[in-house]
Amino acid sequence: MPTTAETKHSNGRNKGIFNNTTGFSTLITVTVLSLAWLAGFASRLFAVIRFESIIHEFDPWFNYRSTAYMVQHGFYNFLNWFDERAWYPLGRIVGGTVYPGLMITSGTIHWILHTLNIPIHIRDICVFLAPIFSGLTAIATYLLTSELWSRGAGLFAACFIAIVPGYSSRSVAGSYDNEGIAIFALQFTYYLWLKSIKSGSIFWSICTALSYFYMVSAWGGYVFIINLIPLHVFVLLIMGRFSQRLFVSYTVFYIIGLLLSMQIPFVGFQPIRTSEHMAASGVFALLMAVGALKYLHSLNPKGQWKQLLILGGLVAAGTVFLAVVLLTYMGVIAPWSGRFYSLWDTGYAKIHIPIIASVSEHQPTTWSSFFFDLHVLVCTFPVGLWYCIKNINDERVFVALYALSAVYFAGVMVRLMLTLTPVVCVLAGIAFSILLDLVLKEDEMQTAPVETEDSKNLYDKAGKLKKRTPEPVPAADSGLGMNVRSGTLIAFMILLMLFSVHCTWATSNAYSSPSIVLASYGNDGSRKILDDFREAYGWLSQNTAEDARIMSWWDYGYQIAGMGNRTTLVDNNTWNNSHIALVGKAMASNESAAYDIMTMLDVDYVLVIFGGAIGYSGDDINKFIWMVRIAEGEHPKEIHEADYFTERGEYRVDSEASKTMLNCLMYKLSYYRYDSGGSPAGYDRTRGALPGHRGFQLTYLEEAYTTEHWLVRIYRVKKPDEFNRPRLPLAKRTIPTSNNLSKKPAYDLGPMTSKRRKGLLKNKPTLVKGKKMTKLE
Amino acid sequence: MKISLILGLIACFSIACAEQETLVLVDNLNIRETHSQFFKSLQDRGYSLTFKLADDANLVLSKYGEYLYKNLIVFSPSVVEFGGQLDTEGITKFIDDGGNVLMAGNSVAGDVYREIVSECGFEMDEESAAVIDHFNYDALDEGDHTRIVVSPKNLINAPTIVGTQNTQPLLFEGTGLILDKDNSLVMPILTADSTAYSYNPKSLVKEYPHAVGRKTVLIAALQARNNARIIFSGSLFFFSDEAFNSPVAKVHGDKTKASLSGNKALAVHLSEWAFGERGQLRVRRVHHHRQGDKQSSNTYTITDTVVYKIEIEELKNGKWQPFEANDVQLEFVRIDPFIRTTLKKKPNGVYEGIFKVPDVWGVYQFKVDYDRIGYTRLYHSTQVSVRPLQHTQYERFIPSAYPYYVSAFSMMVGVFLFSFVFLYYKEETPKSKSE
Amino acid sequence: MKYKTLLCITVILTYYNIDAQNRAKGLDEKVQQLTDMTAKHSIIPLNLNKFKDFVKSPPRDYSFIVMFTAMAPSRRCTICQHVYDEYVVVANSFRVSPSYSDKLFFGMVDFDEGSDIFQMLRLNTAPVIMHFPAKGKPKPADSMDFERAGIHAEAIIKWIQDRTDIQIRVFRPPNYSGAVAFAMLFILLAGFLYLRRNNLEFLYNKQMWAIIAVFFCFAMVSGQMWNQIRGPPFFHRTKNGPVYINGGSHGQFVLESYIVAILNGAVVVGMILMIEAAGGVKGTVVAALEGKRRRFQSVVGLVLVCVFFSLLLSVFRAKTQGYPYSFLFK
Repeated sequence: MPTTAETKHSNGRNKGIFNNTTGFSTLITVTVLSLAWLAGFASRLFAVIRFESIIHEFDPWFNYRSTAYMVQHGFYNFLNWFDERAWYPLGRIVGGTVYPGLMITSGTIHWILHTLNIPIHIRDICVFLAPIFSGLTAIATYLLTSELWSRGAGLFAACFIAIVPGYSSRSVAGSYDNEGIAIFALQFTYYLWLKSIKSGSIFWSICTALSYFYMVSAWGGYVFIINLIPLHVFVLLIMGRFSQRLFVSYTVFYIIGLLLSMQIPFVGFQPIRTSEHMAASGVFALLMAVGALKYLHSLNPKGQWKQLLILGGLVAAGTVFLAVVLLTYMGVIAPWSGRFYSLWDTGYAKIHIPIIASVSEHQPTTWSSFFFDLHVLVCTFPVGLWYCIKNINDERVFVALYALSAVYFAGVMVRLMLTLTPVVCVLAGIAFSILLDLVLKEDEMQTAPVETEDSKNLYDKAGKLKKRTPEPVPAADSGLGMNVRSGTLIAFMILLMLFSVHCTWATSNAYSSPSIVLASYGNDGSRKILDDFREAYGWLSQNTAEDARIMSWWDYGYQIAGMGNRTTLVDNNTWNNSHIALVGKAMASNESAAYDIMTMLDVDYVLVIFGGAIGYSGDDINKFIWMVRIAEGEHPKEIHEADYFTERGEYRVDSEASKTMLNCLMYKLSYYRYDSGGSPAGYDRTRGALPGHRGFQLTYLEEAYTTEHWLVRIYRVKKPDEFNRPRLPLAKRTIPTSNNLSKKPAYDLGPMTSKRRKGLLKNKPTLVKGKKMTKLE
Repeated sequence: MKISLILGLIACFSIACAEQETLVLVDNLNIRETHSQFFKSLQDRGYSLTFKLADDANLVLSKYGEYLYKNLIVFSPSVVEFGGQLDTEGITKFIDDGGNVLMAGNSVAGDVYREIVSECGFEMDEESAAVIDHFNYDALDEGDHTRIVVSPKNLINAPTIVGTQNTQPLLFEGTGLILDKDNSLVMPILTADSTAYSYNPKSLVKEYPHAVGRKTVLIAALQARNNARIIFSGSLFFFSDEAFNSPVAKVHGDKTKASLSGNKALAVHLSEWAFGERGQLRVRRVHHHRQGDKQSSNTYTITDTVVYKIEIEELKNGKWQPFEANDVQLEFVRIDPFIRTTLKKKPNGVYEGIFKVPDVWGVYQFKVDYDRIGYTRLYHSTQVSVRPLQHTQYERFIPSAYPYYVSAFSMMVGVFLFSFVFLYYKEETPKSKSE
Repeated sequence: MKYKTLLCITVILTYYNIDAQNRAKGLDEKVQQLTDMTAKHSIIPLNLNKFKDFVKSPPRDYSFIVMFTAMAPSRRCTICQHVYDEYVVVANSFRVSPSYSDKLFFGMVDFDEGSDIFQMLRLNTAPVIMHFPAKGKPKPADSMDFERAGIHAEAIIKWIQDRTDIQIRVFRPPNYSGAVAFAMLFILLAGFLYLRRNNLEFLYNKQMWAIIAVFFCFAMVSGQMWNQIRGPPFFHRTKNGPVYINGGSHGQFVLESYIVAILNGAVVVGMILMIEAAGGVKGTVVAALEGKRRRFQSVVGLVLVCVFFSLLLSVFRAKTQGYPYSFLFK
């Protein structure tokens, strides 16, 4: 229950502030922050405690693999790593297609620990990196919030972000992914940005640029920063809040940040070539123009400068905008890429980029998942926003913009809940601290109120200070009164308590399963571990050739490469749609057509996930319709989505299903000799249906391995020269043969039973045979 | 003459030491006598023949998983059921494990034959059907016009199989074979004339014959994907001494006359091919490296120049000797062949190709797929990965960037000088700092 | 015998030739007429006999796309209008597209002109888009399925490309209405600002901005974007009364999202009330309003917060299986 503990502390802190013992307050701040860190770390360990210290689902396995590679071969080899194990036969330049920040971070930690002779395996560092960084995120949030409002609000925000599910969903132990460190970088960059815009010092803005560089190296979400900060500057300009501080901090940040961000190979020249980054440069130019006008203005303060300023500003904005549009038309600047464009035109991805729409975390967000991820914060952060806007200053403009944009993006994509969570924590922290400040400090309002401390960062230097009038002591009865205050206090304690238990519950139930190892609970609450994935990948790594090529749907590419250490055709970095479509086509077409594709791609094994036996709903048959869509996008002639639905447009696998569905490779590989799954035998629990086409044989593939619960099924693709003789099946023969011979089983029973059996010859001149012969004819 | 004799001797020895165990299944042992010349030619070439009756109760091809025989000759058309452990399955398994089979049937051949034959992808006409040709039958034919004369022009054009000097007309008496059209591995070695058809000579032609004209194949061969070779002749008579040394005289058409039929030469050639004395190729050595450096590597950088060498050998007279051809091709494949080039012939069987790796990175394969009629399929593929340039391999100073270099260095100098100005200038100008 | 067969064969052949010739003639002039009509309007209105001899009668080497619809306002077929618009877009873009040929024609049958055609094809719904292939009868796949494909011109074109391998690039007449509306709005705004130029104070009214921002937050947090993308029903009617809350946590109804927005709003209002009662952030004058009223206000706020938050919690609990916690209400 860290939050409640923390609130007590922060209340104590307020009293401490009242006693003006800053040392005491610092001590409490440190305690609370360390407690928050501890709580955040602890609440992320469920997965490790329940299962084991293992890397979680899909992308983390690639990150882990490349981290291990970097630790082993050094940074430059990692930068030049051409991975011929992935995307066979295209290969992948890993160094140029990843954000190396994550690997470098954990690699650095590993190096430091080893120079200190602490022999810790890189895997453990990878597993525990995200929880550790959650603590750093808490500290960064504290700094940011105390820049915005007050240190009490900062402490609240820190404790919220430490345990809120919206953030721990991406940073539990073992989910070794970019987001884990990127959120820290995000918050810290924003903090430094506010710092620099407050102080207007080059030092802070260079720090901002450096932290931005780290963010760029860590996560593709850096685009959010490089659009939000210019937006902030732009809005400040519109509000007529131009100042030298703004000018210095933004110009320095932009130039250095631009140069630094272009050092990441994966980013390269995008910052000057793509529309996502054009806002920054446009604002840069605009700021220059406005600065010039201001300078002219300062040269002679007299004269009609106001209109000129507004006019000039408008003209500059228009020209910048037109320039960007023109460049885009001329093709110098790439237009918005699909992933970003789908944020604005929300229907775009569904129509044009099925591979993006197919990912579940790119779906829009329902209110219940908002509430699930943010709980009480979701209905208190507007309060913080309200007060930030009510008494606005430069930083609070920023946080307002941050909140509005982030909440929009989170509404469009579940995944971007991650960017919303920090600002929600900040604003909710502000709201809570305002309320509790007031409720707790009221009795002491006779003497100097706490604002003396707050006013330093409560009001900006824009000269609103005069507005505030420290009031004389009010009458004693004008206070809220003891019981109201205590009631309020208790109520909010309960709310925070609820929040913290909710966070713990959500993190442990929803976000702490390493989707590699599944757990199923019996009626008596006994837990059964289904370890089929690792079983299958282990089988691959042990029993297949070193260079065997495994074909599977792209979801499992990273795991096969990471655990099975085998060559894959497609994997989770979906950079080549046509290659994925080829695999989808192979899965969607019938066996012989698929065999042509598989021989073309030299596939050795095919791996499918089949959840029918245990009712695992995330299996390939349920994803199959996306494979068909993606394949149809590239091969509209061969694959038609409609063929896989029934007449009434339902997607089913039982006897109602369409013929194409019942004969496609994916169906056959899933249901080949499937007889488990409860009564009747061969019943599919996931679809709740009995497969329509059963008891078939495979011609071009043979079953190689099936895991304990039928979850993973591996098939070997036969090589062409295994079809040694072109035999003529009975059906194709023109000459009628008496069938008693051509029935093989009946025929080769002979040798089985009696090894030394006399053969038969026609018209052999022996009487015994003669009789036989008569019998025979 | 002497030379050839010596060569022959050497050949005999070399093959003898590669002793070729061969099982011969016969209806009755006097086939040994009636086909003695053919068997003798085999024995001269060092094959040790084991004659067994087809219904022998202890026929075995393999013992303890080891095959006792390398080749199998089936000269027993009237078999209804093989004795011992032998059956269609056994024979097809024998083929799949690389054994060579030479089969000859005739019009009485039963369904076992049809089974085996259709396992190999072609068909044998019905029982008691025979190839009839009313236009070119032999003078010695007794009325049914089934002892037909086939001109060597009907032979398949593949000297490795049928040899070069086939000028004598051929005698044939037996059933016709039908080939499956969509079957690339089966070769019609000898086809009948356009006037021939295959039907039961004793009965009236009621329905349309299964095989008519050139479609009627008399001798067919199959080279399985594992290079096992099967030759099937519709007539056992074809291999008999009688056919070997009887004169040929056609009754109709161009009255072709020959004192001796060409059967023997052809039969011997066929057996040589079938039992793998000819047309055997193998890859001796493959070597590829970047032009300039010696040792081979498995990764190339884009636009490298690669040298690929492959050394091919052919089995001649039981010895592996350099293979001579000028149509060996190399493909550099990533899904599709990016480069297809004909390899240059170098001395002693080395074929070399020099080409520039395409400017597309990925995992490629050197593929040599040499598949010619009569030769064993020669397929060799090596996988290499072609990687993009490393970060050190791009050129450092590009001319178009000189303005930027200039600006950078001028900036440095400017800052250096300006710092002095800033340090030793009395009036402090706070603005200049922030600009 | 042979001669006889030969003879009859030749006879048959000649007959066929003649037949083919006059058939070809009929074909040519039909195609000619069709192209003329297409030149007039890209969509050929069909009545029964036109339909019979252009679409049904055998000598055809062109495939025909026909839309069966009921455009008459009396029919009150709203979707017909949309489909018609898209269909017109398709037909026009075919006429201007490079792949324009006389192998494909677009026709249209209105129920009020050709109801007998509807009976002939046993159609009892409108709109239907059918494809009559150049040879053979239309298969089930030859009538377009709006449910799955949607009614967009792109979808229709894709379907056409499936049926007849004719690739059409959709060419929409640029839709200026949005731009015009935007320009109008902009002009209005500018004019308004120009009129109010002497007192632009309302722009600095933080109250307004704060309210706008907070309402935007409510809208987003209550999943309006989800509604806008997925288009759920307003609420669900079942036999035993209407259901306002979607049972699953992956879905929601429009009304439900409004309810949630209101709950959130109430909580926020309550909290703001409390803060203001306690003196607000600026610690502004507290003596002005006497203690009773402030106490009352803050109690109201507290009640608002607790009650509505626990309501929210219970709604959430109802949606989420196995969620253990609740506050005040189950």
